Parts: sequence; C-alpha cells; structure tokens
Amino acid sequence: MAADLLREAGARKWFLGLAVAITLLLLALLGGLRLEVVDGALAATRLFGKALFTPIRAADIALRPVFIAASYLIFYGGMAFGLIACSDFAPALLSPGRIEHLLALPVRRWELLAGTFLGVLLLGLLGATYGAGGLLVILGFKTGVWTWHPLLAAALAAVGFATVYAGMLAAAVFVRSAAVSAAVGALLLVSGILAGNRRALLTTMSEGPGQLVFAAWTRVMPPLSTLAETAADVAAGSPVAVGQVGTVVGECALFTAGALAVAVWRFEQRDF
Amino acid sequence: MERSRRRSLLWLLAALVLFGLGALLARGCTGPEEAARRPPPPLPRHLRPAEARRMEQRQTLPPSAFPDRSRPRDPLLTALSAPDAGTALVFEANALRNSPVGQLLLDCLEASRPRADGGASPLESIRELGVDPLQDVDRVAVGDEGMVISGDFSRARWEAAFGGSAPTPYGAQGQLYRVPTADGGSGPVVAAWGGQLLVVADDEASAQATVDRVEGRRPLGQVLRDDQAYGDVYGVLQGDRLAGLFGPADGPLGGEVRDVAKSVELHLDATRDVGLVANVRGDDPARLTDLGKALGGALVAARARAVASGHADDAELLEYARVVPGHDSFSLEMAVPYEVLRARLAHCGRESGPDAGR
Amino acid sequence: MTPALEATDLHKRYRRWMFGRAGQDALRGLDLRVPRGTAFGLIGPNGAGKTTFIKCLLGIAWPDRGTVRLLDSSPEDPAVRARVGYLPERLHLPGAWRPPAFLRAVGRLKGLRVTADELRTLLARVGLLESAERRIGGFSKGMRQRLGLAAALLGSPELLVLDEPTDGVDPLGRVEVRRILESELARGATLFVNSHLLSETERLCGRIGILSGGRLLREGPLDALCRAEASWAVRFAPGADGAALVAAGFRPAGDGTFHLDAPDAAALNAALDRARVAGALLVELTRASRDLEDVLAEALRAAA
Repeated sequence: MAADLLREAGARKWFLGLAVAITLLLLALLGGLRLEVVDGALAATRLFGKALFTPIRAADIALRPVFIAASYLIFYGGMAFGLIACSDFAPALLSPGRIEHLLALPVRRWELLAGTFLGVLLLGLLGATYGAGGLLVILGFKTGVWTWHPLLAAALAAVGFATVYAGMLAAAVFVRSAAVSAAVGALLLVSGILAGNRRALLTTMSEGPGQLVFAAWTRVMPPLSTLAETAADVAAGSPVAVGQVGTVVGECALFTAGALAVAVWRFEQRDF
Repeated sequence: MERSRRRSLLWLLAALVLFGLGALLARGCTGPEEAARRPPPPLPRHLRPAEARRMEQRQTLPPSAFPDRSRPRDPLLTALSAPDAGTALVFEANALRNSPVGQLLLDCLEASRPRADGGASPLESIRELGVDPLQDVDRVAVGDEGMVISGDFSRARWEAAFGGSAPTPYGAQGQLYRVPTADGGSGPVVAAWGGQLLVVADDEASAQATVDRVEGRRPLGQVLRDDQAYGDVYGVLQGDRLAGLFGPADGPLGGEVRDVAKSVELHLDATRDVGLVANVRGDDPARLTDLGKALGGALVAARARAVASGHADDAELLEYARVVPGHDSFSLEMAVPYEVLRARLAHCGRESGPDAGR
Repeated sequence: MTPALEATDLHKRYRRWMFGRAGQDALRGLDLRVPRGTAFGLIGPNGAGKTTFIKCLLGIAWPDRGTVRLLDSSPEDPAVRARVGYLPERLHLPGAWRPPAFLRAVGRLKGLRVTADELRTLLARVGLLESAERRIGGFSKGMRQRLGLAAALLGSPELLVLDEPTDGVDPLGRVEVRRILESELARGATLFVNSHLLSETERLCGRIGILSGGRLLREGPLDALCRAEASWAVRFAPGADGAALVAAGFRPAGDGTFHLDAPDAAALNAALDRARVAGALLVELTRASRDLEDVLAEALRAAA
C-alpha cells in the first residue's frame, strides 16, 4: 500500500512541483552562492555576485543560522505543504469503487490505513531528507563543513508531519473530504504550537473553565513547536539533552498512535 | 461480525490509553519548553536608554566657558579630554562590582588572597583612609595623562593616604598632593577635586591641566564623546594598544594591527554575560579589510586549536568570537556566557586559597 | 460439498448516523445458497439490495443480523478473500498507471507473484494487450471494465463476484466477456453475477435469484423459473386459417408460431381439436418459456 501510494504521489503535479522547486533552489545555491573559507573561517559570502556583509567567523558557527533557518523552513513549510498536498490521499482511498475493491482483497482493514499512513510518512521523510541533504551537501562542498545534524532535524520534521497526518487520516475516515482533512491538520498544527507553549500561555490566563479546557486540550496535543525548536537545535549542532528529544518525540509518537487507533476503530466498523 | 465489533472496540480502548499516556508524559516531565535555551549573549553596540539616563545624571558640571561644549559636562570625561588625547578607557566600577561577573571575580579575589600573615586585607587598609573601594568608587578611568577616579570621597583622609604631606590648593576646588617615593624623590601628583574626583598624574602640570579642564579654564579634546559612554567598560584606544592582544606587538599580526588600526573604540558589557565589541578604524580601507579577515582567521584558528587539543572550555570561550566587516572599519566581537565564566571560575579559590595543594 | 456462498437470515439497515433510529432496510432476512461450480445471477430493480448483499458477502459492509459464509469460511478471513475475485460496479482505477502496473499491484495485495508472461496472457484474454502501454486515464469505460475483470481473474479464484461485469462494454465485447466467464465456469469456478442486462444473465447463469425490497422473491434454476406451466407453443403447417385459429384460442406469436394457454391436458387437446376442425395440421408442440424479463415483472407484481 505504501509503495503504491508513493507511486501515485510521483504522478501528482503537487509533488513533482515540490521536487522541482527544491531542486531549483538547491541548484540556485550551488551556482549562485560563493563562500570564501580561509583556514576554517568564513571570510566572505557572495550571492549571485553580490557581496553579503557577513561576519568573519568559524565556518561551522557561521552555518548554524543557515541550518536553523532551513530546519524551520522544512518543518513548518513542509508541514503546510503536506497539509494541502496529502489531504486527499485518504479520501481517495475511501472513494467508492476503490475502497470496495480493496476491502475485497485479502488485506486487513487496518493494513489499508497503516499502508496509507506509512506511504505518506515516507513521502514526508523523502522530501525533508532531499531538502536537508541537498543543502548540507552543497554547503559541505563549499565550506568543508560536513555534518549530519540537518538530516536528523529532517527526521524530526517527518515525525512532526506524521503526527499531524495521523489526525488528518482519522478525520478522513469519519468524513471523506480532503477539505475537512486539511482543516483538521491545520487545527492540529495550531494546537501543537499552543501545546509547545502551554506553560507560558497558562500563566497569562485567569483561572476558570477556559483555563481548564485549554490545559486539558494542550496536554493531549503533541508539542509541535517544541519539536520544531528541538529540530532546529539539532540542525545547528547545539547540545540537546537526549531526554528532551526523547520526551518530545515520545509525546508526538503517542499522539500519532492514538490518532491512528481512532482511525482504525472507525474504519473497522464502518460500512462502505 | 460480532468478533470484528469487539476487535474494533479494542482499538478505541487502545486510542484512549495512548492519549492518556501522552498526557501523562506531557505532565510528568519538566517540559522541553522550560529547558534553558541560552540566548546569545547581548553585545554593547549602542547607547541604551538606561545608559543615556546615567549619562545625563552625571553631567553635573556647568557648560564650559570655551565654545566647544554647550551642554553640562561629565566631570570624569572632562578630566580625560585633553586636546591631544588619544586614549581614554573608563571602567564602571560600581556596575562591574554589582554584576554577577563582578561578584564572581571578587569572590575569586577574596578566596585567592593569602591569609598566612593574618593581617588586614588591602581593602581594609584603604577603608581606614576613609574610602571604601567597594562602596565609594563609581568609575575608574585611564587616559593619556594618568588615571581619574570618580566617586564619593567626602570622608577621605587624603593626607594620611599620601604620606602625610599637606595639599596645595589649586583652582576652585582642587587639592594637589605630591606623593613621595621610597627614596624620597617626587612621585606622581594626585589631585583631589570637589570630593568626587581623584586624579593621579605623572607630574604637577598634568594634574593642574586636568583640574583646569574640569573647572572650565582650558579647552577640551574629543577623545571620548558622551554618546560613546555605554557598556560597563568603554573607551578609545590607539591602535598600537590593541596590537599586543594578538601575540607579540612586533609579530606579523601585531605589526599589521599597529600599522593599520588608527583607533579602537572599545565597549564591554558585563550585565550578566560578558560581551565585547571593538570597532577598529583606520585610514586604508583595503588594508583594514584584510586585517579584519586576518583577525577573524586568527580567532577561528585559535578555536580550532582548542578543539583539536581537547580544550573544549577554551573553545567555548571563542564560540561567539567573530569579525564584522564594515566599509571603513571592522568590529571585533566576542562574548562569553555567564554560565561558562562561572564554570571556569569555579576552581578559583580552591586552587589558590588556603587549602590549595591539599 | 459446501456451497460457494451461503447467507442465512441476513438483515442490514443503513442508519442515519446523526439522527438515530430512522434508516433504510436494505436486506430483510435474506436466505441464499449458491452451490459450487454454478453461475448464479442476482437480478432485481434499483434499490433492491443487490449491491448491499454483495458487500455483506465480501465483508465490505457489516450485516446487522444473520450469517454469511464464503467458501465455507467467514468473509472476515483474509485467506478466503484471496480465493475470491471481485469486480465492483464502479471500479476506481489509478489514471496515471499502466495496466501491467495496476495488475501487479493487485497481485501483490493478493499475495501473488505475477510474471510478465502471465500479465500478457491475462491482458490478451480480456482484449487489452494492445493497450498495455497506455495510461489507464485514457481508457474508455469498456476498457476499464475489461481491466477490472482482468484484476478479478488474477490468481484463478474459486469464486468470482461480478457486479455489472459488462457495463459499458460494446456488444462484441460482451460476447468476449461471456466466453471468458464460461471458460471460468468450465474450470470449476463459481460465478455470482449482478447485472441489469437480463439477456446476458440468461445466457450465462444457470441459477437466478430475484431480489426486491431486501427480500429474495424467487430463486432457482433458470429454466424452472422461466418455464410457463400453462402455456404452449404450437406450429401448424402452412396454409392454416389464422382467424380460425385465433377463434380457437391460439395467439399468433410471429414466425408461424402460436401460443396457447391451457391449464391442463384436456383443455390443450380440446383446443387442438378445434384447430384440426378448422383445417390446421399440427407440426410442432412445445411448452412455451418466458424470458427473464417476464419472470422478473411477474415476481414484482406478485410481491406488490
């Protein structure tokens, strides 16, 4: 199922467009970015011939903001793109004529959902890895600074998107609509950002039912903004406590599994 | 069909359990969002509002009779502003003393003082003269003509401090003291002015010139403007003063600094982290650019050597060091987070104190 | 031998999800057994519950009450669904794929390893070999239907469940499809066909079930259902007086054939005697059979 989804995605203009856009951006950096590295120090930067007044500092330190920015772009930009581009995979799976054919095959119901989810997860991972990997290869050749941290950050971005997509998948099982699926994804993204900042936000709220509801809601929601910050720290090579990474990934993973379980519960008992 | 319904209920149960576990995990840990994400240390790049207010409060002298100043004047900056002065460096002693870094240094100093003789500490000795260095001193400045200290010296017993010699009145509020040397010769001349300034000059002429400037009888130079008075240490140095920081003054880098850098405007902030900005100016933009690159490379090389030799602490000190090129100048920026300094100074006192070597 | 499929007291109501009890009964106590190796045709008006029944057979929909057995196993068992080939009424095909890729994907989900030669043979069998390199998005309705049939035939299933298998297929194509299905029948497979084309159903299926309002009105061998007990087809030698024959109770049925309704042997012989008196010479006498359309209409009238 996952492989079939990847094949189908490859035929869709959205993903072809994304691949082309990432490739063009990387090619632009490859051709247009000139970095003068002297004895490990980034001495000068030129973008399409125009000199950029950048500080002279160690190349690995100078690249940190670049990797951080790229990490945030991949995380949030990738998630926004995925919300729209992947919103109709599940509704298409459940479309009349297709779901009946699939359910008549010797495939368990939950396997259909799992395959769709895995396919989208792989898609997200491929996209994030391509972008991050391309960037670190280009910058590695230009500066001599080689690091695999951006790839780790890309993996965390994929975890974040998987969390949101699990909710989208569950929504699609209840209401077969790409628009509803995308809307639920957007709601999860916003809730995830709020969840990552829940303690700070709770202190600004006065006690009452509103605060209780907010506290309960954000406790269940995955802390996506925290995951994004962690990914950025990882991309920059900043020291990050393994426990911190494990906790935030664990929260996201538990939410993902819970959302998928809800999707399977509904899918198992639904008539088509 | 019933079996499938029962199975589907298990999925719902699993979902509830998973969401519950997620909620527990969110509650049980301290939360990644609370982990200290250290922001980059702030760097003193311009006059901040608090420093502007501080500057205005210090402008207690009336405008000079000379036409080059039209506003009230800061006594200490006026004392430093000799017409040909090229160097003026001010230490905000009060601010430094009360900063976290200052406390660290003071603690380190106190811990490392040998107590073997059981006698009085230098601070106690000075306090007996009517001046508490930790309470009464506001600023300490170094200029071309000597040192200037500002503060509250109304209870100072200068005569006892300077060998018992009687002062010579000079100007409206000046008192000159000649400090004898050990061999009985004449040493520096100290001018106490208005119970708020203490000038230590090489000779009497310099001391008198300083008092004249403060009292508005002599023209002023422009070595340090009021709007440059930001940070906890600030000032202007001549380029050759910077040369020695990069190895031997006659070495390749030091020599280039001496030749190319005309002046260096220095600012250091120690509010919590320590941040240093040195704006280097010169007459040759091209050589200045090359010098900036060379300095940047030297910093990077030092960090790389530290990393390679396993001195992670030293490398951490150079983490925020960088050179920012400009059109006819460049800025050398360095910063050290407070936590790093605290860790570095944690051994202080244990190594050099009474228990050292055990 | 156990039947290929068996439904007992099958009930299915489609409830309105948000508004509780109000709903529609699609199946109301359906009992049906289809022996192995037969071709069974399920016919009925729109909304009779035919597609719902097929979905309950295959585990696509869950019945509220009753049991379903498929090849002596529950349709929830994936292993039994591997032995079933299904062609849905509206098969969705991925437009960007080519037929071999689609069939390989179906084969993978069925747990089959389909070789390139097997794919070519199958595509040739359904008449799509020449279009094998075209994208499915450019196929006509008939071509898509043929591809769906090819997917159902993958793995030589024991039971073929076909919902409108010739929908959109041209007349010659229908002949080809019928031949394919007949060959499957000859192989020993069981066919379960739901089709609005009664003539096709008549040609292919040996057993028929008539479904209406969620109930099975009639079910049995085709010839038994279509046989009209009290109706006879008679042919006379040329030159018979048509008007006299009509007066004797014979109805012209075209092509020199007359129909006679006679409830018993005495009435039949009495009518023949009247014909002979009118000078007509009997050359052929057979029981008249109705077509499926008549059977269906009669069953629906009786049910109403």
